[in-house]
Amino acid sequence: MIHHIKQCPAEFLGQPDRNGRSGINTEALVNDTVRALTGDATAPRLIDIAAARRSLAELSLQQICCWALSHPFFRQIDSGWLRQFFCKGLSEVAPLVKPEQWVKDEERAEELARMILSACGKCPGGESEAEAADRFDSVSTVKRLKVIEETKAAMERAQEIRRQMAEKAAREAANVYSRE
Amino acid sequence: MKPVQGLTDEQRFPLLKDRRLLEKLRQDECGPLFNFGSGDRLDAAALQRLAAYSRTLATKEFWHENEQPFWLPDYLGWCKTTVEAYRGCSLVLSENQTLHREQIAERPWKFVSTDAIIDEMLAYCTSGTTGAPMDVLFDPVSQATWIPQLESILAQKNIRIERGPDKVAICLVCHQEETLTYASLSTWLDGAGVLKINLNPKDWKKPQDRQTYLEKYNPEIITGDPFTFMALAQLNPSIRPKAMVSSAMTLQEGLRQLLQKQFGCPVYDLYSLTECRMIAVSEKPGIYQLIRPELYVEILHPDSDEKVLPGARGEITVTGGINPFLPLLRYRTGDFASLEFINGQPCLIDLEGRSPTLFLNQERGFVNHVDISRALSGFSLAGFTLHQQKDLSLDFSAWGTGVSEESLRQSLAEIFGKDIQMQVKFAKELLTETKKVKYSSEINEMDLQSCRR
Repeated sequence: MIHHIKQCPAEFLGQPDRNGRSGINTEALVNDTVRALTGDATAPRLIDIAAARRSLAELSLQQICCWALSHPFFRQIDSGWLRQFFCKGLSEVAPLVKPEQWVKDEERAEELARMILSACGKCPGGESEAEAADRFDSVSTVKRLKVIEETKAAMERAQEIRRQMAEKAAREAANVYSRE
Repeated sequence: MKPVQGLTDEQRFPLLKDRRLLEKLRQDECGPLFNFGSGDRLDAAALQRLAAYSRTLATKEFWHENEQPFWLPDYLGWCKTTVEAYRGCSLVLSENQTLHREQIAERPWKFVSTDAIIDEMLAYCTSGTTGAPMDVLFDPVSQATWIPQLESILAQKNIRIERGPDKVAICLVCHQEETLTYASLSTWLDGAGVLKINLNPKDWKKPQDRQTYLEKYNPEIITGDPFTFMALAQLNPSIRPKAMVSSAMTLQEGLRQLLQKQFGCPVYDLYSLTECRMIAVSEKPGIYQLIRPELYVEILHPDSDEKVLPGARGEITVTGGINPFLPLLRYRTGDFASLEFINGQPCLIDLEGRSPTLFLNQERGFVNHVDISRALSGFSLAGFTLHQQKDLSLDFSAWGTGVSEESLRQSLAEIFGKDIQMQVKFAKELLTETKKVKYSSEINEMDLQSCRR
């Protein structure tokens, strides 16, 4: 799957067309993918992705996902998860990663593979659910940035405590009632 | 270190509007020359938290033998999620490494829970009588818990501290060359008086005022260390406290009996540490009853983080407490005892490691080692050891940097007298994080009997 993602053709990486002027029509691509996976080649628009309200990064990631979902594995499984995945599954992570990184960087490709498998409720071969979740956490951009943010907040707090320690040591504290 | 910036009485006692007793204690013509001010800093929210804590003490719901306290899993989870130093901790207590004083001293801010409100933080530098000086962080609530904790001890003998602004409830008596002294009030006790005084005549207008002042306000509870109580017994004021509470070092049984007889009240020996305050109390030799159900005590091997066999001696190690600025997780106290359950109550048996170290000056006057710590804290020492021989001569070894041997010698001579024999060894060494301070002495209580200051 990682290998498949990294083989993504340049066409899928093209600039999304949000205004109907030039570039790739992401919504059409997404709906083609969904039709292919549901086996209903002539169905009218199945998913309204509301492209105008989405970031370019998210539309790009949707396009890359369309390529990823062309892997034969996805033809063998149920397709009920696709609407949720395209409409809600990518909004948080997309702006955090440059689109080409998903197909160039080994770890991002793994993250995307695990993100898709997690969304369709499948585990990579040989992994238990817990192992898959654990491994997904370890490559998750959202989780990593959260840790960095928490670490930054912890550092700022520690600095504030140290600053106030010096100040408070030179200040009156509170009643002492016995010797220690 | 003497704090330099004082507060207003409004900041000291946000809830106490009637402060007439405070003025009376401060302005009394026979009062000491108070050199400081202090309050309990309790506001309405803090007072509520204190009241909630007090209720938990009343039930005295301790853990049972061979069991862990019911609150432990929640506490460990809370430590793991809110305290940086405990991020990697296990939710199984015994799987955690023990914590040493040096670790806290090096980075106290790492032990502050994210639940602690930094603006409420208070800092106290320990004198370093059992180790190097260390900054201990706490808040007004954890500091004020001392009183409900004492009340829970006294309640076992149906002794009650009176509330209201008519009486002095607690008087901490010191007997030192120099210490902070103040008159204060207790919000928890509805404005009752709190005093911290020094028996050193230098702190009074007339030496006789020490008796007069104590007799006039007749504090309900007298606290201090054994040396101070010895000096108080010699001063012999006509006071009738409801109880006396000795701490900081082991109270010898002979002195306890003398005090009980002279002052006609129970005399408790408190085992407490600056890092967590009260741990246990004794009113008979060798048995210290644990005071706080929220402070779990394990007895561990000194060299491994394993529990000793039930009833065997080992290092007292504590987990819990209510200070969000220093929650403890398997903290090694450096003191040794065994743990036994007596009538369902956990007790420390044969507590040792806190025997008083006696020092005398060249006139055979008593020297409190707090004064030595204070004098030496002015130097940048990585550590020191001080030993006094039977003939009063001193062996002093220190290591550090940027200190002259002559200035150390002079500092000790100011405390012990310029004619005292002393051997001073000083090694230049870069300051390390791990400091060591050790006092020892060949002087015993017999040598002290003729000692007067």
